[in-house]
Amino acid sequence: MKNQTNTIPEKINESDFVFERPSFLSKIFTLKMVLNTASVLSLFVIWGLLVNFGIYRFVLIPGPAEVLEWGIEWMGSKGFWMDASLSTLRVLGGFTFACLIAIPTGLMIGWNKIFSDLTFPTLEILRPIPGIAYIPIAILFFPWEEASVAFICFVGAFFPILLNTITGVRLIDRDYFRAAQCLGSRPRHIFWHIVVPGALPSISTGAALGMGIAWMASVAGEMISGKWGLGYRIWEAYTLIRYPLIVDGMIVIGLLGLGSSTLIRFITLRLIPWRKAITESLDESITK
Amino acid sequence: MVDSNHKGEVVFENVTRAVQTKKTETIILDHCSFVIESGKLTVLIGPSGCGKTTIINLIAGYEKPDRGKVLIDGKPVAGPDRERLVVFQETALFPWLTCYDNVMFGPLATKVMTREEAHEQTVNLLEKVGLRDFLYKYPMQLSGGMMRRAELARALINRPTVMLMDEPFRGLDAMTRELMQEYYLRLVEESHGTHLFVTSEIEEAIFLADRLIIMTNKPSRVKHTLDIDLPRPRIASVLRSKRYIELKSLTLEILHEEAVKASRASGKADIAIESGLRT
Repeated sequence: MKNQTNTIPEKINESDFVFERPSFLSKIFTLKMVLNTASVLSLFVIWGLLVNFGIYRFVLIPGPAEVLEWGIEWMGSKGFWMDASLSTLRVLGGFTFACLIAIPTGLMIGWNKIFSDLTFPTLEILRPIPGIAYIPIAILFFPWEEASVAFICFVGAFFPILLNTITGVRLIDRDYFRAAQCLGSRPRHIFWHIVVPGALPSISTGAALGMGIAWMASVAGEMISGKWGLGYRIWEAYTLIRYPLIVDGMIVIGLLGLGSSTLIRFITLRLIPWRKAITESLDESITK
Repeated sequence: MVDSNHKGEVVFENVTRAVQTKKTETIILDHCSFVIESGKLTVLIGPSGCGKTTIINLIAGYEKPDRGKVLIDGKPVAGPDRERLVVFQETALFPWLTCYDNVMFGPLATKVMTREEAHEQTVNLLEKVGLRDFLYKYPMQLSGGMMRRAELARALINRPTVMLMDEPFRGLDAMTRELMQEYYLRLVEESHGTHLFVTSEIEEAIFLADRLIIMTNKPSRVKHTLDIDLPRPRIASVLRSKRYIELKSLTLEILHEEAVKASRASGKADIAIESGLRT
């Protein structure tokens, strides 16, 4: 006991308790931010070098400066906002419908054996058919162009969301169901309080994936059946030999895709507060 | 009180339970018969892999006996029910609910009490197990010992007739384990329900039990039952009493015999596998 008291300093100085507040600059210039910026910049640098030195057939590809010039002009025009907003609406529309149908269906398939046997084989046949293959049928079927493009997005987003929902339910620990049963939970209660929250993390993964694929599908859909939209603009720029605009369209799609998946991550983090506790503990084990 | 003395009696009548894999059939319980007296804390102990968890699953209603009967107060078990509550080996706290919501789960699912009553009892119980400051933490943010205590609270708030503990303190360090045993005993001595506690630790078994059921190696039967006549409330000093040491050495002797048999049986299996590989 006496040994212990010896290790404690007799006098405690106030200066021992001064914590350095991180300055504004040190907040921005974290290692993470520097690395992230370097990652994006290097993409442009490599592209610029390849075009500049005309390596292989890169002479045919527009360079960053040209693309920037065209891009600024395009973004100043009304047409750009029309294209961007219409594409976004189509993607969001298709994505929302996909969520509304895929999530409940997936929950039922994962939870109910009979429902699973009834629907799953059919869905497995439909699954390998790519969204693009639906384009002619969509044009024939839908009286409205917007609907047919949104439908292509819907098809793209539907299966990743569905499959992740199913896996989400099936991966719920059996003990949770057993525990709920002996705590007096009836099937309907189990569905809402075990199946739904238990599958949520996986559903959010599916949603993020689905959103990405919906953007991919939108470009294909617009190239063929639209008058407006980023995908249509890219195709038009090709046929009119306005090549830099092609790359501008691609960049805008990339940024919008990034924006929408960030939005999804933000929403799901709100829906899954317990996930934060998990990821925080995981962060510690990632090598820095 | 009178009521509790007559409810929650569990009877195993010639229960046989086998697990079938593709080719072989392993008999886990073989014509196993015993009685778990109501209002008492019975501890089931036996060599590992002797089907202790199977017994819990049979009483809880997660599994059905292949032959024989499992009776609760004279009626055969029909399926999982809130009268028979299980505390699992691994923690089964719902990770998506806070500590508080986990404990509230039972009362809100069954609606046997109002939300206000449930709230009051939840806070009360969590305070008793030392989790007053952790009400709104998620299970992931708790330590192993805290999770087990939260789980005890989640089970006890429902006042089950039979409470089934499946090696609940396994994997905890020795200090936490001791603490948990004391928390558990305090709660049990207040609750007066029937408790079945499964463990493979002899000290734990004798420290907790009113009655000790010692199982044989697989296929399991009851090898021996012992009444543990140590005084209640049990405190740590019991562990140094002469009677405790007597009971411990007696149990050890009985279990040792079984352990020897078990290792011989697995030795045979090893030889069988080897010769199978050679041919």
